[in-house]
Amino acid sequence: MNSAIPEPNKTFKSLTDADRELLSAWLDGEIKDTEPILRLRERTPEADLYLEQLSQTRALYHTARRDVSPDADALTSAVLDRIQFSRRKGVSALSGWRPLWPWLMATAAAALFIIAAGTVFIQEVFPTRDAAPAASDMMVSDTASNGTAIPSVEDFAAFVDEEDPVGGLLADLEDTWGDLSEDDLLQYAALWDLQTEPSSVMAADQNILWWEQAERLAEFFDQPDSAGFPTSE
Amino acid sequence: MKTEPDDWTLIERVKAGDLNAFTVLVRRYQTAVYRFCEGLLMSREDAEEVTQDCFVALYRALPRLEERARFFTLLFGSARNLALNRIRNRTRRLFRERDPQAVQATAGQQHSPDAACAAEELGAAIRDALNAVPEPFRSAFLLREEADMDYNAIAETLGCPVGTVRSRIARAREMIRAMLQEKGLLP
Repeated sequence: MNSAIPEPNKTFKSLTDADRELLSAWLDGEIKDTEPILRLRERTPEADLYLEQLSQTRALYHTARRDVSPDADALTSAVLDRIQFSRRKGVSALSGWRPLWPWLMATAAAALFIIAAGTVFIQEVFPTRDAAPAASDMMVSDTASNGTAIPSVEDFAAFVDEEDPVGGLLADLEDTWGDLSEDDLLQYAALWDLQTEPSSVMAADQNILWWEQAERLAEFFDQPDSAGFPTSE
Repeated sequence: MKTEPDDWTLIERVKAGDLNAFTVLVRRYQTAVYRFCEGLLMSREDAEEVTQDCFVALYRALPRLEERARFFTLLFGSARNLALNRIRNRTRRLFRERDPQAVQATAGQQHSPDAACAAEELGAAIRDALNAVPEPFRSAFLLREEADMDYNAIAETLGCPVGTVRSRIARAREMIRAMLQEKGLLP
């Protein structure tokens, strides 16, 4: 017990601890049966005095503390803010991966874009180099059907450049590589055509993939006339 | 006439995700909780923080809360625990930071944390008197005077018999009256 507290009033010598508790409780409206209170008040006048002092104490207490109240709106807002913060934190804690998925999606999209852009770039810059070797690999063997060594595409193209590609005839080719059969020459003529087509023609066909070009080549050999390639016949 | 939903109805709504129902609960009890805490802590700042802590703790505990008792007895029981913890922490901190003699001197001044309000003589006298009432007398008294609880609810909150509550409140009143008499504020 705090030594600073004065000893509770000794003036009410006629009241027991139980009497004082009863009167205090009665002041609070906790005693429904008023009979003991009436008897006590009849027994000693100190009961009324004690009640009066308790009432004064209570009134003084409430007077002094009437301004003790919070800023209700601010307090409510503060509580709700803290709750909403903890709710957000709770959601993140429950599914910690969620904040990451937009980054993953963005990274994946960027990777796809780079791949797509790279593919388009390669097709733009090297449109025929991808197609022609592949077609040549598929369509031309290293050795002609009659056993003659076959010139490379570069040799063939160099020859055509020297011989005026526009006016070049199949007969000129036969003169140069007389050992080659007509079919072999036609194959090389087709390859040469693919590699030396004017840019306007290539622009129209730039989106054609190498296997489509190869199919066109194969179609030519099946139906030479319809493909428009010159023939010796 | 529109009647306000009772506490447990509001709590069921909060559990279902209705934050507005929780706002109603906060507004219903915040002033009483604050005044109760202020009476225990003798500090408006601490009282406000503890009141906030109390409602936040209540919100977190809601999923596990069962209708076993009157809601406000749980609320004030929690507020009391938080306030007493704060008093203990405050005392420990003071002991760590200062020598015991200085702590004793400071403890005597803790009743007036808000100097502007303490300027009022009556307010200061009441604070002095209230501060002199030890636990658990003070809690019982404050629950009666600040939260307007009946003795059964106070007994439920403090976990003691009703007879004990009655004697504690009477004893606290006598202590406060004696202090006020000593200061000449009561005949």
